[in-house]
Amino acid sequence: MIGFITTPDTSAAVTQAIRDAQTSRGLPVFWLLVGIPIYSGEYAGQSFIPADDDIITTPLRGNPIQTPQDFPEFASLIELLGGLDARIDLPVSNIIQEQP
Amino acid sequence: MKYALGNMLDGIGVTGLDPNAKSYIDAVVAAGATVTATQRNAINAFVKTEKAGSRWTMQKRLYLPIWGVAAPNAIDMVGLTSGSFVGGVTHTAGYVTSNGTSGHFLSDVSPGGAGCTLNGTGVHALYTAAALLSLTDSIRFFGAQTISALTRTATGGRGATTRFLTIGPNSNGFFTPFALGDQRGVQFLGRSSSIARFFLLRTSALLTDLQTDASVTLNSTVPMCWLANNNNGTVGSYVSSVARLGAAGMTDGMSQANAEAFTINLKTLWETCTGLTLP
Repeated sequence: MIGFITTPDTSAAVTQAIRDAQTSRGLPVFWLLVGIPIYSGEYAGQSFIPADDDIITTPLRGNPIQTPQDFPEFASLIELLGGLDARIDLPVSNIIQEQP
Repeated sequence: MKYALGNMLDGIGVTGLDPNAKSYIDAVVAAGATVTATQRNAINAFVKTEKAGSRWTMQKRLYLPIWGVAAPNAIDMVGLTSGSFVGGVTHTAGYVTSNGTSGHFLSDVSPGGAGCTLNGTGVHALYTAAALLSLTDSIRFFGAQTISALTRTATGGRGATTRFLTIGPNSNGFFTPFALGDQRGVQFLGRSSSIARFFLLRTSALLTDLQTDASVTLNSTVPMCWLANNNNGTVGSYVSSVARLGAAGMTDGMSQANAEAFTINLKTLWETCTGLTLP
């Protein structure tokens, strides 16, 4: 899983900023990145924000296609998270997925 | 613009469109989808058929994520509200897929928030795949619950000898319909009374299972989730990337007969709009 390691507070702030980027344009909130709690491994207790290349180039709107990178807020959020080069490959086993 | 141009080119005006169909088409076009004449006519026929069958008012949310773009894919055909794609979701013409680790789709509301009732909740999903689909019971095709397990509504993958694991609606009662086999099709989990629930798998054929199970508590707070399960705000049990979601929604008050007719209509809608087919 490619993405950013950050604190739960920063993760929540990033999610809220993505919401705001949509609502401030009069759009519904149709796309989000949400931090996933890390339960084991080197980064246990922190949050993981999935952000591989497919995610950050997701087609959000059409005619013409707009991706997250076409929104001016994108650069500042990536900078807040340390830049694209700060992304790591986190083992899936570090997050709990299966539920009863 | 492409919608209007399409109408002029094929010589068919919009006056014959059902107003709900027209509103939905206008909304997805505004969000960047291109709607062909075939797709427009299929959506119109779908809505008119639901109304003729007195099922349109039973539709509480209906998503058709076939447009290849997130914003139109998230639009509810019924009320024009919007759900949210979260994490790694790939948008392809005809369907969406999860990356299996973070990608899912959330309605804007819980079943109760959408208007589903304790004894009438229905949740459905149209899943397809490139080949036979046989995911294990560690995944959920859809599901949500509050902190109480007695509010569960979910459908998961296969057990050792059964095709699906289903829970609820609105209870903690498990049942495992159908022998092992292909999971592709329109999956419909519904409750038709306080003591009766059913599960349908609509393909070119129809499989049904009716069970006795008492409803307990309606989930009125936690949004319904597809491609995974929403356990009181914590999402997990993601389907793998081989599972392709082509339609999703919530209903209220559908009898099994209603659901059987609706799933035929939904299958026709999806197949006509996409040019793809279910088994």
